Amino acid sequence: MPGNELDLLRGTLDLLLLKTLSWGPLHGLGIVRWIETVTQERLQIEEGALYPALHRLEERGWLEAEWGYTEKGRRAKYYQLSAAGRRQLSAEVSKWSRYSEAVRLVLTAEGGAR
Amino acid sequence: MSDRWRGLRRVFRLPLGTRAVRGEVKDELRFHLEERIEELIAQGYSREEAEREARERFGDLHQVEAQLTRIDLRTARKRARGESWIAFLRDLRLAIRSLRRHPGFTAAAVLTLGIGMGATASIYALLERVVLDPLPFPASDRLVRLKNPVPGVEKGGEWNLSTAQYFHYREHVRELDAIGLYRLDGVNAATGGGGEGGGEPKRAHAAFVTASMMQLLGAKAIRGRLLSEADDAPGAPDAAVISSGFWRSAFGSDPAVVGKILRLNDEPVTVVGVMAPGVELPRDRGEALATPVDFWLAIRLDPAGPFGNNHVFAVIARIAPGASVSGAQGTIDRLLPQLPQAFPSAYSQKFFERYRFHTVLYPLKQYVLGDMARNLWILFGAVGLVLLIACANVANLLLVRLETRRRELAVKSAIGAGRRDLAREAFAEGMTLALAGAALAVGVSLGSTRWLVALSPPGIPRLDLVGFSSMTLWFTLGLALLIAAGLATVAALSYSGLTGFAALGEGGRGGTAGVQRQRLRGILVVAQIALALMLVVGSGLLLQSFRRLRAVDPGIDARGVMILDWYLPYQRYDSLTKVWQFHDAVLTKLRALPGVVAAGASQEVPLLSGFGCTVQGFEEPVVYDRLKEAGLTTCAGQSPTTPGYFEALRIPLVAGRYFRDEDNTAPERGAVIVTKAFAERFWPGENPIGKGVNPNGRTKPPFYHVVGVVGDLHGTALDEPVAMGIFYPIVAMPGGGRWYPSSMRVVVRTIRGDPLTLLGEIRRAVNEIDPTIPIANAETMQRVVARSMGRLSFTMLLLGIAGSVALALAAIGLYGLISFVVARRTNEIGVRIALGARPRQVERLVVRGALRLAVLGLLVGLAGAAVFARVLGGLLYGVSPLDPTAYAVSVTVLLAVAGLAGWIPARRAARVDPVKALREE
Repeated sequence: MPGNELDLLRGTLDLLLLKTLSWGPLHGLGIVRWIETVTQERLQIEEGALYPALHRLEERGWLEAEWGYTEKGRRAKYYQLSAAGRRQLSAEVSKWSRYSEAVRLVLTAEGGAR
Repeated sequence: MSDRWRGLRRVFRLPLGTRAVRGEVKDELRFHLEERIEELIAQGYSREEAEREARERFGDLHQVEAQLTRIDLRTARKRARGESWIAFLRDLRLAIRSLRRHPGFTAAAVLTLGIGMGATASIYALLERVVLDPLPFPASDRLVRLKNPVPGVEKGGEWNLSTAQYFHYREHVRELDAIGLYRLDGVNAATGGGGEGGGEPKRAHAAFVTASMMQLLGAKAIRGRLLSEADDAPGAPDAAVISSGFWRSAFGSDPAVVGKILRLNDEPVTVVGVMAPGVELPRDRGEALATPVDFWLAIRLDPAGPFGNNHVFAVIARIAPGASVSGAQGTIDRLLPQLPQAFPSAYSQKFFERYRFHTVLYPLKQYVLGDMARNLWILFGAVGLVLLIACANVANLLLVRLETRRRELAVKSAIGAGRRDLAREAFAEGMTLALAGAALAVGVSLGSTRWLVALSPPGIPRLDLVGFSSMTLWFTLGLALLIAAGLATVAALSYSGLTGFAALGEGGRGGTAGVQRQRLRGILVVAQIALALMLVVGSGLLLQSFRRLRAVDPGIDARGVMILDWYLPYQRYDSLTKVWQFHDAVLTKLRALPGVVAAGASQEVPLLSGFGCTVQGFEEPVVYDRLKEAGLTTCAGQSPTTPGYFEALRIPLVAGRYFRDEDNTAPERGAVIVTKAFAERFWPGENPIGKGVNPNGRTKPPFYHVVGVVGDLHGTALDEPVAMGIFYPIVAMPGGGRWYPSSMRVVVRTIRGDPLTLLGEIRRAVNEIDPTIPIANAETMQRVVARSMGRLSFTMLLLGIAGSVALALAAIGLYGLISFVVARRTNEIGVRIALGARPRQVERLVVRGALRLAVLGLLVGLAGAAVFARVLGGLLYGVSPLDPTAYAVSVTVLLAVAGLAGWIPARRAARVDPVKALREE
């Protein structure tokens, strides 16, 4: 793969997964595709990390998993947000915007020392 | 209902389904890869290329698979736990609903459990705070008290240490990393610089300590500083750390107290600090309470001596980390024979041989608690037995209820509920009962703990801190859990007969099935009776001890007597004549008070502090020969005494006369009075009047000569042997043995109703003679006598309550069982009556059934009672642990109660109308 994709910051993957699933239930591959589409392939999810992350979110009770069928009639495991997951998402989103705002302030600050 | 069971079973199996979890993980990943490969093929990849590309994008498939399996197994386990918790809560809810439908049963069970658990929790709270908690000193588990047993002086006799021993052990016992010495003394304390402006003097307790005691006690100063090594050097200036209580009462918590001058026994002492509240010396044997210390003063011992053979210093030490008590003991045992060589002025070889003198280290806690620990454990055991009986009762009630639900349970079992499921239901029911009981127990315990504390005798350490702690709460909850499990077990055992197909056919009543269940209930009742007998015998033995003790002649008439004490500082009262003159003047004034019949003073008063043991000297050498032959020593309780003392306490005169004033004004006459026990030991079979004796073991003339013999007295308690009392006048014989009476106890007999009303007048009388002498520790002699029996009566009362409750519970259990049996056998009885059995015969039949169970229980209980009585052993007085009367009475009482418990339902049985009984079938 060309080296132009962005590395995911630590802890961001959970947030992306929760946000993605807030639109509705998806299976693992569906999540990858959706994120790639939305970011115009600028952000690529490492598949080896995706599934452990999903299962951990399920363990913590933020996701619920259920077996369903794709349009092609294939059996796949679908994930969806639980009530606790929804609460977690809004908490993470506000945390993230505070963080990115702070980073932006530093990056756009005018140099005042000189 | 059965749906619920199946669902649960699935949940229970889930965490074990490793294979299922792994399969799901594989399926999920396979889907991902296959979908990806198809996508790639659609983009123009060949099948092989697509497969490789998809794998590559995914990374280490096996590792991810293993990781996911791990996570999912964890999730499944967590979920199962959560669900079984939910299921348990559901069970509880069901149980509560079903119990509510039987309020009578529920109330009886909860009440029984609540009282049983509450009593157990209360005694546990006491036990925890008083016995189990560590002492309030740093590294308290490593603290030891050193004592010198002297079996050659008296059996069980123990002396404190000498300064020579202190220095020798401090130097040579490496297993001790700290050692401290102290001596308590009464002082007359006044604030202010001197005569004018100084506050009124008060009696106070001073502790003369080595600087190391500060560290051993974990002392802290809240103002100024503690005593340092520099304060403790020989010749250092007088410095005192005052207690926070004295700081408050005498200085009004003045923050600038450091540097102020106190007058202790008329000597100026500088205050250098205020001790933090709660710092105290550990209780010593013979002390009813830990003495509250008002002043801490450096003892300033000189390591260079001089050393004497005086064993009056209390010593505490800390075992070094890594060392053991037995190691330190071994070292001290080796050091002991060196003492005569190291300190020839204090020790001789002969001294060791004659007194069999040696040093023993005791764990400090054992010394502080004394026999309180044993008494509390006994009580704990007793309430534990009551709780067991209570549980047996509840189990019995539960069985009765199961019996009535037989049909319902049989149906349940027929539609697939397993024994385990029914057991879970029973556990939930037991848990509900036990938890409700625990809630009630907390209330019972909160109330009764306060009552226990108010009731308990003085001298129980840390009793003020007893309360319902979180540990007590956990203890109660633990009990509840155990009880629930026990009840569930009993229920499960009895189900075995219920779940068979046959149970469906069993009618609501009648039939002879369920013999096993009947037997289980029989066993419970037998156990109850056995346990009850143990407690009844135990309290019977204590009651008998108490009665024996009450019957002991105290040798005094305590009614109408008030006692108090005062201390004449030797700095001013520097001759015995001055001491006598003070006493003579004050006592003369007291005798002139309206209502006062007699007044006197002596160093010792019976039942208060013990007469001690001081070696006596005898004029006739034959006395020594006789003692040697009998293996006895010359030690006796010697006490300087004024005229009026025997009269005030009404100690009877056996021969000769009481003291007179001339015994002090003309001391050369050498009058002395001894108790009957003293005369019988030292001059057996002889007339004691005129015999020669000397204080402090002096064998040279001049000798005192016995002028009177008085009745026997008890030193510390009525259950201890009588004291060997010997009373000398205050003023010593010129050229004879010497003493100095430090603190004197004053006894005043009055015809007034309350002797304590004399207090103000006594204080005024003392003031008129010497206003610097305070009086202290005023109380009635009757209180002293009552206190000396306090421990026994406290334990006796509680054990008596436990025994009565046990008796009542056992009776209820037996009654319940017999009534039930009668109810079940109504038609059989009906048939018997129809066939011509007389009511008498029916009655006898039922009562016999009850008595058979009772006798079985009593046989088992007799063995248990003998064991329990042996544990009580040390508390008993004048009663053998196998006292036949106590056993016979207890057995009779239990048989009578059992007979009554059987007779009430028996009468019901006898009145059965055969026609009705048979029609009901």
